[in-house]
Amino acid sequence: MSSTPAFADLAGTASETARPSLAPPALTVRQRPPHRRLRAAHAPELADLPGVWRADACAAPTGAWPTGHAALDAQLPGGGWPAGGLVELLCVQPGLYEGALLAPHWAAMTQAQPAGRLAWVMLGHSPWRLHAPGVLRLGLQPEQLLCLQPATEADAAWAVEQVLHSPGVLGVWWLTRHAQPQHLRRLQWAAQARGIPVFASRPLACRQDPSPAPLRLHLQAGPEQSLRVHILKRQGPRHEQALNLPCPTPVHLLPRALPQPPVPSPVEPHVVDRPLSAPVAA
Amino acid sequence: MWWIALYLPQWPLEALGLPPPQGVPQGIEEGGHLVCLCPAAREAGIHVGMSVAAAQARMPHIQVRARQPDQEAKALRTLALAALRFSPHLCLKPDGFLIEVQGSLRLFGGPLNLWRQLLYTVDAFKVSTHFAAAPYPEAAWLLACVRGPQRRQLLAHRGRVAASFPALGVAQSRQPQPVRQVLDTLPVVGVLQAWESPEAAQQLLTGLGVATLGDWRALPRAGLQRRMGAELLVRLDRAYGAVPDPRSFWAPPPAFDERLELPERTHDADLLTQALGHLLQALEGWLAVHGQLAQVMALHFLHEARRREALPDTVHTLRLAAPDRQAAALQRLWDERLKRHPLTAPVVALRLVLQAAVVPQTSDVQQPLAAPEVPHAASSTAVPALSPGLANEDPVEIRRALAWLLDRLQSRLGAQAVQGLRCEDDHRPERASRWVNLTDEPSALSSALSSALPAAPALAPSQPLWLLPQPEPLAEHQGRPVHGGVPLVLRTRAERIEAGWFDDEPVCRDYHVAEGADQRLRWVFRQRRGDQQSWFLHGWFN
Repeated sequence: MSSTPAFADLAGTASETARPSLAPPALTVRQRPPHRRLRAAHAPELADLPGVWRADACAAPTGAWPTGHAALDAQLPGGGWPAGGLVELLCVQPGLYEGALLAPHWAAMTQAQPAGRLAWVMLGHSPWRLHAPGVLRLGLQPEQLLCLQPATEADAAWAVEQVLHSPGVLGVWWLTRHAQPQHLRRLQWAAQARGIPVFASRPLACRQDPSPAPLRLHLQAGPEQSLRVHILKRQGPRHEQALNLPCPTPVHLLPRALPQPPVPSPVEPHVVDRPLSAPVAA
Repeated sequence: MWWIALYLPQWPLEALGLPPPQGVPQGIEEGGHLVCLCPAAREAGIHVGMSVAAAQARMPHIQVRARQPDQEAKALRTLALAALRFSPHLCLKPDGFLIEVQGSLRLFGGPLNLWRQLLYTVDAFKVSTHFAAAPYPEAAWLLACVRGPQRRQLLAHRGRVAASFPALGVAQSRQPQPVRQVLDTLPVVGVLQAWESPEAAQQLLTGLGVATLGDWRALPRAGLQRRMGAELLVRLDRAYGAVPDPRSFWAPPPAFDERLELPERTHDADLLTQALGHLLQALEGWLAVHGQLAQVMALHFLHEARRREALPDTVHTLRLAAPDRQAAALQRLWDERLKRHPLTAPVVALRLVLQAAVVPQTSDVQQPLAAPEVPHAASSTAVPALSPGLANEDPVEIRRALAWLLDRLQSRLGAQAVQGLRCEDDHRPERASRWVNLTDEPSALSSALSSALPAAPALAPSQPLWLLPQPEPLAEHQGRPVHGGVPLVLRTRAERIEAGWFDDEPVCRDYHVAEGADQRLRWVFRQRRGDQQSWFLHGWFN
């Protein structure tokens, strides 16, 4: 709770009065012009309330898991993924952007507890299939995954909840297209009780829908294979500037200006025999 | 020695599993005479031994059914199997059983706990029972049969009552009665009926003015033996513990395959769940005697033949990642499974077959048997705290929790929806990953639950996380593949994968990492087989 605004300075300046907003779960203290004396008796209690933070600073939750991306940590309340709660990841094609973002967190979790597992919940009829060498490239072991492929969204939400109740699961990734609001609410509670974040990948079309998740991110592809992250919702002030998180590329990439291979002649020479047209990557 | 007797006074009626009487009096006949009556019929003045015709004359709407000894024996076996959980020393009788529990007293937390659990188990079968306990088997049986509904009576070894049991309905003011004193008060007529002794002995004793067993034992033995033979006197001595009374114990069947007839053909899920509960109780007893845990079970729903065509049984198989024996835990898993499958036809009987069982490992020590009524309820409802002590969690606990999780998930979602991913040693991308069914393959399960993972390869492959199920053909523009109307930029040199010549699925491709206008990386390849050289999209990097 160190980054919570200590109420001492509030009381010391006697310049602000506190008025809780009406929304019960996330109470925000707004600053008021210095025209009224602060009632010192109420001041420390308000600051100590869980879930109360000043509008110009981030909330300071009791725990957070580092994301592995320093730039992102700096912007998240508590300095990492919330310890318990739904994290919505919105992107155009759910599944294609999250791996690089989440892999450091998952790798740290599974290293801390090798017996634990990660649960990836996706609908049975997804357009792509997981590729085990690709999982290895993320720094995870395929053996650490429990892949659940329920037939319906309701089953998927049930499975996520069951998984959250098990102490053997360290991370949950839920790929969903049509999640129901009641499922999201229920899972937010379950994740809070459990103490690990649940990552829900949803299509970008859900951006305008109300959501119980305390953290919502918009993921896009950035320049030079970076990941562009815009925080849509957090327990703190509005996030104006999208972040560019550098992500490791899967392989050393050649410069874009590489001359493209010529139109193959009918008799293609073996690739080893072809002359090199650009410096070979290390 | 400590014997508990369980006598089933209404067994011929209840073994048929008739629905509870709703004002319709019922009776069971054998050889033209009634042998068993429901309370409603008894209140109307019908008594056991009356001929069927006389009973019907007095009460025209009485339902009389023939006695079915086979059915009785089968149902009693199911009940006895459930009681085997408490002790393997069980003697079957036609209308009840005796069970010797001296060796199990400590395991179940004392006589009071054991007694309570036995009542709980048997009461779940919804049969009327008379219980009694005594140091000698014959004494326990007589007390159960003759004293009737005073089923909560508990008499301990050496004639001392071990405790008073207000919870069991025994009045606390009752003086401790040593077993011999209690036996002395039993009426001779009732005892002789329970022994099914000849009429002559009964006439002799009543003629002598003997009313109770105490009177009988007070008579001079030599003269009595001359008049009525030694057999009944020896039996009496056995009841009082004066002569040894060796019993042979029942051997449960070597394989578990029990069938339970339902009272009538039914669609009712509650009734089916209840019947399944009985079978699982029996399974628990069987597993306890054999010292095993259930791993694979098959449940058959037997359907009635329709239009002279037998309908095939509906079979559900449940495979457990965490082998278990406790009926309540198994029932929860079965409930999840059966909830998802509507019945295709009315069911007339259930059959539960144990297909595979395992001997418990020392690492998965079961929960203490003293409290089986709440079997790992804690695991399913309690929410564990994780945050700081993540690394401190016991791996054994985690493994067990994962196994339970797998069982719960697969019982609702189906085994094919709960899978693991494995790497294969194959260069062809289509074959580099393999899906495994975690609960079907023991090796997959053990690797899924073990904390020792294979070492990660030193050089991680540069392959995408997602693969298209089928490579998607791409157009070509000036030698470059086109996806979404835009030519892709190849960002790597070709990585040639050429394999499969050995098993008739040859692959000869040059893979590139390609970038589109949206700056996403794709995995594309150029087919190099034959004359045609075309581009395909095969995967997406994350």
